[in-house]
Parts: sequence; structure tokens; C-alpha cells
Amino acid sequence: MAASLLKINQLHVNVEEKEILHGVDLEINKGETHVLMGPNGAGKSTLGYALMGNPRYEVTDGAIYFNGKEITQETPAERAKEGIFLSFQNPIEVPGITLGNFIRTALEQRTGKRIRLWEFKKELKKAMEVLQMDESYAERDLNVGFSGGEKKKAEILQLLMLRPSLAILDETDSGLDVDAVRTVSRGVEEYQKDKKGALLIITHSTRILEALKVDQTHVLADGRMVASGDSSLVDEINENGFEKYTEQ
Amino acid sequence: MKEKTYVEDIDRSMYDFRNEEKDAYRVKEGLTPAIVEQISREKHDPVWMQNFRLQSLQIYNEMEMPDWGPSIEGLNMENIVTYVRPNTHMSAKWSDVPEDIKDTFEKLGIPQAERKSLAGVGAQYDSELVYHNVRAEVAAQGVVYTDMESALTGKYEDMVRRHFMKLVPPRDHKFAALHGAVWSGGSFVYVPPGVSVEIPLQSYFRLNAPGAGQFEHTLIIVDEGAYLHFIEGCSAPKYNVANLHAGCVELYVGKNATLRYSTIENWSKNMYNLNTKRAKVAEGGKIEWVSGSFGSHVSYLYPMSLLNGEGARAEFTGITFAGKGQNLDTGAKIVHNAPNTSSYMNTRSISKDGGISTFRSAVVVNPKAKGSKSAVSCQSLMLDDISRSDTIPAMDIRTNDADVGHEAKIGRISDEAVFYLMSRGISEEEARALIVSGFADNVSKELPLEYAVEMNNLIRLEMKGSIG
Amino acid sequence: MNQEYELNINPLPAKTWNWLHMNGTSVKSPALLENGTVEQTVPSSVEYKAASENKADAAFSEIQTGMGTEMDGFLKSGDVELRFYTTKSQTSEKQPLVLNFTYGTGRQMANRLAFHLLPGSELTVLMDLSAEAESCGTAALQTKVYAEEGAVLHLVQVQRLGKGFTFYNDIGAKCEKNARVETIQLVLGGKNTYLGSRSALEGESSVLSSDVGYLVGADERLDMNFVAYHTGKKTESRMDASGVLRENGFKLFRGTIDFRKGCAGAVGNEKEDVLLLDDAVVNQTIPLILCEEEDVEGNHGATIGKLDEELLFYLESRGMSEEAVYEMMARARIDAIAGKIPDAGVREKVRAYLGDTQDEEK
Repeated sequence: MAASLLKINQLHVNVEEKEILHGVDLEINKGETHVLMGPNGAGKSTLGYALMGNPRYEVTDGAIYFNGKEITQETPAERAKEGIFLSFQNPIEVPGITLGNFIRTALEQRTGKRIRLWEFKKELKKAMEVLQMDESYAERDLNVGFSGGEKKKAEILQLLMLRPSLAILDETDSGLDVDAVRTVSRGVEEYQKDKKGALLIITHSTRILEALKVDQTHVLADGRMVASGDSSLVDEINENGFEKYTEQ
Repeated sequence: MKEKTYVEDIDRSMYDFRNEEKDAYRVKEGLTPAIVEQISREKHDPVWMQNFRLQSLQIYNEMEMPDWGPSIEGLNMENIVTYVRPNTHMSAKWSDVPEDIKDTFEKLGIPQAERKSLAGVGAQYDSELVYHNVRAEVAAQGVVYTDMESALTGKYEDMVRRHFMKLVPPRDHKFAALHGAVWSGGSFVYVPPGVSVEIPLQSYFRLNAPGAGQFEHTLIIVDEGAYLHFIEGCSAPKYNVANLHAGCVELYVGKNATLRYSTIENWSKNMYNLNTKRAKVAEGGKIEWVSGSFGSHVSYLYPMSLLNGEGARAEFTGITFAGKGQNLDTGAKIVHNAPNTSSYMNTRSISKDGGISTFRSAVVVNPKAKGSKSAVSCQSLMLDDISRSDTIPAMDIRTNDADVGHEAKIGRISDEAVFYLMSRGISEEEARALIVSGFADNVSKELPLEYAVEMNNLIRLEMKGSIG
Repeated sequence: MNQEYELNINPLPAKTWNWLHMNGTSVKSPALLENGTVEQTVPSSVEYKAASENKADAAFSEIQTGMGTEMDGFLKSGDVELRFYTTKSQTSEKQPLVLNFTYGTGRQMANRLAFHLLPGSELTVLMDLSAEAESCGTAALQTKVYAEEGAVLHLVQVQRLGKGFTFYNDIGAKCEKNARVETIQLVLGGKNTYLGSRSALEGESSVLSSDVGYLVGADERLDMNFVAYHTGKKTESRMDASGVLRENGFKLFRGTIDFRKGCAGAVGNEKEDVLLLDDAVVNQTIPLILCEEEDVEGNHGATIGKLDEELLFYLESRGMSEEAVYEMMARARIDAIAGKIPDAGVREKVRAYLGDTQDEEK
């Protein structure tokens, strides 16, 4: 019997005084892969941000539990240290900090331990190979001047290096060409099987899901969970779209 | 060769008519203790006010002219008549106002506007108000709207005395001292707690006498939780001699109160407009300045907001249009003195035909103002290469718990934008006018409709011309 | 001869309200100045000579600097020698010209430098300004640049002076057609630092690019005056200032883009980014755009205070506390500018000065 990793109870979230999520429930067990689908504006990204604790997304009611502990009031850094990771749809450019140094600093902050440089480099190199990233990216400033695809790869690189127990991927496949999607999903696959990590994949397409084993699929519309099912729900939505969930 | 748009100078005929000065009472030119005493006597000042005037004159004589900003060398105080009283008394009926003066305000559209869209009107002609009236239902709410002179001797004397030139003390700068010495006219407004004045009040200032100065004093107190929109308009016919406007506006915005103060300034191009405006905002209160500067030969105008209460806010929206022979130095000052205060400044300036416009600002965030935010955005447009446009914004931040942003842009009308509009069948002239109107939109959309229309007409007139 | 008197330096090109105290800075003139100690490595294509003022090219005398005429006059009036460097025309020198200034404690030292870049030449000048960590004293450095047609100068200054040092660092440049001056300045130490920099972009399509990065800590003052003076057609300027204030550090940044008549097609961009880490800091910023030409484009942007919320959230989401993010971003500001220095040795010196303990490998 799988143990509960993330549990959300009746989550209400406001953005700029306007309620976007109207009581969302979700439970993810350790190592499971969940897919969150839904039409534009349904509140999918809002859920991702709220789980990560973005201060602009205000939880007005309900609670988030992670590993059995309530984290609703925790800072993003605390949540990250406990094992949550959010891959951003639009990663921020940070001049002056190289990708490599950043990952190392973040790792040290998470673990509170100093990390040997050569061990780190070795591991970074391995992860970059999986993602077919040129090693020189480690020396470039974080996301600065990266193309859309490179930014997404850099996010997955951080995912592989930081080893969270829950990764939330927010539209990681959007705006990528076929090859890039394939590379990114290879990285996600690696995370899934190697680290036994759980996944919450926010997406509107199925390309990234092809090689992944999906345990559960959820449909979010107008800030409410309107359907849940196994991976077959993904195929059904592919065929029929979201119409049946939005008109009521 | 690039084609240039030939732009005519503004057609100011709608402001430029002048009246003969008939039987008006005027003091001699210049500035002496005797003249100040004479003004004080004529105005039946209380004793404290007479002393205040004389002290201010002394301060005026001690202080230096500003060593920054546009030249005011053309202004010679020896030639300025500081007090001109029209031969009439203030009335609450337009029918009691002398024909020629009434005509003036008719042409400016004041009585019409009063009937249509205002809760009260004050009309000043040279140094004194000739008309003052407020709608009965507004007065019934306890709103006081009167001329400064009545306020000074009536039951509000105490209130006036406690506030008069306390925000802008005579020592503030040389022309504040001058104002303190020779002020005359202006309005006093008091809005009691919780009262929301739904439609605006307006004061209109007309300076008709050549070589004269206008020194009106506006004092507005908006008490806790109240709301007021106050509109100020000003104009004058053009003369060949220098005229001077050194008014003073003091605004007290109470706890959780809001005051919107809109100005359309249309002085003639022989005017030295050295005006001082200041607002003090209490906890949770808000001051909104909307300012259109179109007239004057030289302007120094920077409304200042003192955010003294926690959560107080200031907004400043301004447009300045400097044409031929104009040097308009405008902007705003904001001082954050309390926690969680916020300010927002958004300005546009346009220079053409040799006009000079300067945007000048100061944002000060003091150590007490933790959690404060300020955003300034100023844009300037140059319409030709004989004009000038300067941007001089200063920021002084003394706490780390502040978030201050600033952006400035200067440029010209983009050829691509003109081409795009022309490709949709609009003439080049019209395309340029459209772009300039769009540029000025930030202010025009903040103004009551009639004023927005007037402002857009002004800009259109400025842009009128042919392609040469 | 040099009696102590007031010098007005770093004048704002257009004055504003005096109560802001930003129009200029009044300082007591340094006492008698001796020539500073310089250790130099001059590449083969560059000619060096020590010249007295009257022998120097008149063009240099006319070049105005950011600190203004009073400082210029003060330095000229003393016995400070002028070090004169001339490049070889149409030659792109690969070796940098290295100038290491070492200031002794308790000393009052000055240097005057003139760089004459002949047409089509390119040169990198690396200046390292250092003193013992706990030392105090006064140092003045004036650098004048005359870049002829198509010449390119990369000028790097790293200032890591002692805790008690007052430093006057003044630059003036004049650019002919297609010339380009790029400056990178890092202000890492010193008690009172005055920085002036003025570039006259006279030749068509000449370019100024300026980056300054600073760390200002307890009881330290940094007072800057940067001016891009555009007279040539299609000239371009970019001025970026970025830094960190701590404790009761004080910083005043004046930055002016001055579009003069005739500079049609010119573009000027100015950006300031200041991170305020402690509550007693004083940050003053006054970015001017002066314009008397229609066909120009000028932009200025400033962000002062906290980190952008989205950036903070992004970094926090990777497990770093807010404090750690601030510390990292403070350092990143300097690293971003240091990273532009085209010389690994200089970059290493910067890292060492900042007490970098990371076990850097080969």
C-alpha cells in the first residue's frame, strides 16, 4: 500500500483578491505520476504555484499536507527542502549566477552540507548528458539568453540534481519542438525511475506523457476538479477535448 | 529629405479676449511694506494676518531666487501690480456680476459647466472672487465651499488660522514668501467626515489686468473618510508685459479620505507661473493629482505629497505641452514618511516649435516608511529639432524595505506608427495628431469628460497644420 | 602651494532642488599630491612616455572629465606627471596594457594618464588599484582618452583600496567617428570614493559602453557622476550601474544622457539596479535625460530596493532561504560585471578580494 505524499484538502486560492481555485482536493502517493489537465484559465498553474508557496497566490481556505505535515503556511524554501520542486513555465533569468554554481548552492542550502566540487561536477555532467545539454551551459548565467527549450532543459537538470520527492512540471512541454520534448521526457523518465519520485504533470498535450507510466489523471475546470481517472482519461480528452467538463 | 510636419501655433482666441479695466482698484507696482499694508487694509485682514503678511515680505526680501530651473529674468517685481480689485462684490448670482466680467466667464463656459456638471463654482477675476456658489444639497451635507476672505473672518477663522501656510510656510522658497505677503482670493473647502461629494467643485481663475499678479490661496480640508474632486482652471489674455501667478494650494487629506485635485492650466504666454501646491495625507488617505499644463511663458510647478500616515497613497498624472516661447518646468515631489505608503507618477510631455519642457521630480523614502512602494514613469515626445525636453528625476531612498521603480523614455513619433496608420487610409497630419492624442491619453482619460474634450481640442489645435 | 580649499566636483549637468543635495559635491581638496607608484606592462605596439602638460597634445587638455573643471584644474596645477600612451594605428593589440597602482598608507598620491588611440587601433587597459586592507590615505587618478576614427578602447578598473582611503577616480573621453570606448569599473573597497566619467561622442556612430559595479558597506560613501555627451550622429551610449548597499553605506548615482543638437539618430540607455541589504542605507539616484534633438531615443530604468518578487520566489522554490537568496544576488551583481572583464587574472583578483573560498579547480 503506497504511502500518502501530498494531500490537498478543499484548497481555495486567491490571486489579487480574486478567487481562482474554489476548493480543490488532490492526493498523490509516493512515487506516483499524476497528470493535471484542463482548459486555459482553469487554474492549473495557480495550483502549481500555490503548492510551491508563491506569496502572490493566497490560500484563503483549505490545507496542504506533505508527508503528513501541514505546509500551508511554509515558505517556498521550506517546502523545497522538504522535497517539493516546481518546474516553471517561464523560468526567470538571473544574471551573475551560473547554472552550475546555482545548483550547487541550492544543493548545499537544502542539505546544509558542503558538497565536494568534483563529485558535484561528475554528477552534473551525467545529468547534462541525459538531457543532451552542452557542458558549457553550466558556466552560463542561469537562464540568461537561453532559448525556450534550453530553459526547460535547465529546469529538468535542476530537477535531476535536487532530487525532490515530488516534482510539479508546469507546462514543461509547451513551446518545444518534437526533439526537445523527447529529450525533456527522457530527463523526466530518469527522475521517475531512478529517484522514485512522484510527479504532478500540468499539461494540455500528451506528448510528454508518451513514455511515462501515468497513475492518475485529473481534470481541472473553472477552479474545480471535475474528473479523475486512470491514464485512459488522457486519451478520452485527446479525442473529445474539455467541452463536456466546461459546460454545466 | 524627410518631410516635416508644419505645425501652427495654438489658436488661443478662445482665451485671448480681454476686457477694459473699468474703475478697478489697483495698488502701485512693486513690493514695499506700504503696499502690503495697503492690501491688508483693503482686505480687512485680522491683525494676525497683517503681521503674517509683513513677516512674509521680510522673508521674501531675505531669500535668494532659485539657482536652478528656467530663467525668470524677464520677471521684474518692480513692475508687477500685486492687487487689482474689480469694481464689484462677490455674489452667488451670475446676474449680479458686471456684464463684461460675466461675459468673460460665459465665453470660458463656466456658468454652463456649473449647471451641467459641478457641485459648486468659484470664479476669481484678477485679485478677488466675483462669484461663489454651491449647490444647496451639497451645502446641506455640511460641505463648506467659500472664498478665502469670508473663511478668514467667519466661523472658520480658527480652522483657517491653524492650517494657513502651515504646509507651505513662507520660508519654503522665495515665491512662497511673496504669496504670504500679497495673497488674495482663492477658495476654502471643508468636507466633513464621511461625506462624499459626488460631483466636482470648481474654481476658475482669470487674470485680466496687464502687468498684474494673481496670488490666490486654496485651502482644502477633507476630513476622515470623505471624498472630494476639486477642479481648478486658469487662463488669461496675452499681453506684452510680464504677468505673474504665484498661487498656493494647501490640501489636508484626512484618515481614509480621498481628494482628487485636477488642474487645467492655460495661462497666456506672457505669464510667469510660479505656483506651489502641497498635500498632506493621513493614514489610509489618498491624494490624486491630475495636471495639464498648456499655458504660461515660464512655469515652475511640482505638486508635493507628504504621505504622513500609514498606508497613505499619492497618484500624480500629468501632461505638459510646451510650444513656442514656453519653458515649462513641471513634475511632482513625493515624500514617504510612514509605513506601507505608496506613490505612483505617470507623466507625458510634448515639446514643439522651440518650446522647452522639463520633467522634474523627487521621490523621498524616509527610514520610517517601511514597506513603501513607488513607481515613476515619464515619457517625452519631441516634435521637432528646435525644441528641448529634459528629464530630471531624483530618488532618495533611506530604508531597505522599499520597492522603488523608475522609467523614463524620450523619443519622437515613430515613422512606422505613422506609416501604419496611413496604410489604413489616414492622412499623415491626422495620423500624427492621433498619435499625439494617444500619447496624452493618460491624462485626458483621468479628466471629467468636458475637460478631456477641451484638452484634446487644445492638443489638436497645437497639431493643426499642413505637410510641407 | 596646494592649500586646502573647497573643490566642487561631480556637478550634475542640469541643476535641481538644492535640498536634495545632488547638484554636486563639495570636498576639501587633497593636500600636496605626490606621484603614485605605478607598475606597468606596456605591450610592444604601444608607445609610452612621461610628458609634461605643455608638451602633451592640446586635444587632451580640452577633454572634459566627469568630475568637472575644478578637479581638472586642481590636478593640472600640481606637479603630477602626465603618463602618455599612444597606440599604433590600424593595430589591434592582443596584449593588455597593465597598470598596477599601489597606494601606501597615509599617503596622498595622484596619477594622470592619457591614452591616445590612433585610427583603427584597439587596446585593452587593465588597471588594478590597491592598498593594504586597513590602510588610509588619499589617491586621485585621472584618465583621459582620445579615440580616433575606428579606435576601440577597453578600460577595466578594479578598485580594492583600504578601509580608510579617499579615492578620486576621474575619466574623460572623446570619440571620433566609429570609435568605441568600453569601461568596466568595480568599486570594492575604500571609504570615500568619487567617480566621474564623461564621454563626448563627437564622431558619427561612436559608442560608449559603461558598466559599474559596487559594494558599499559600513561608513562608506560612493559618489558618482556619469555623463554621455552626444553630439555626433547615430552615436550610442549605454550606462549600467549595479550594486549593493549594506549597513549605513551611502551611494549617489548621477547619470546623464545629454543629446545635443545634431546628434540625430542617437540612442542612449541607462540602467540602475541597486540592492539595499540593510535598513540604514542611503541610496540616491538621479538619472537625467537632456534632449535638444528630435530624432533620438533615450531610455532610463531604475529598480531600487528589494529583489523582484518573481525572482525571489523562483530561487526560494529551489530551497534557498530569503536571506541566502539576497546574499547570493548581492554577489551575483558583482560577478555579472566581473564576468565581463576580458582577463582571467583580473577576474581571479576580484574573486580573491571578495574572499571567495570556493575550491576552484584548474
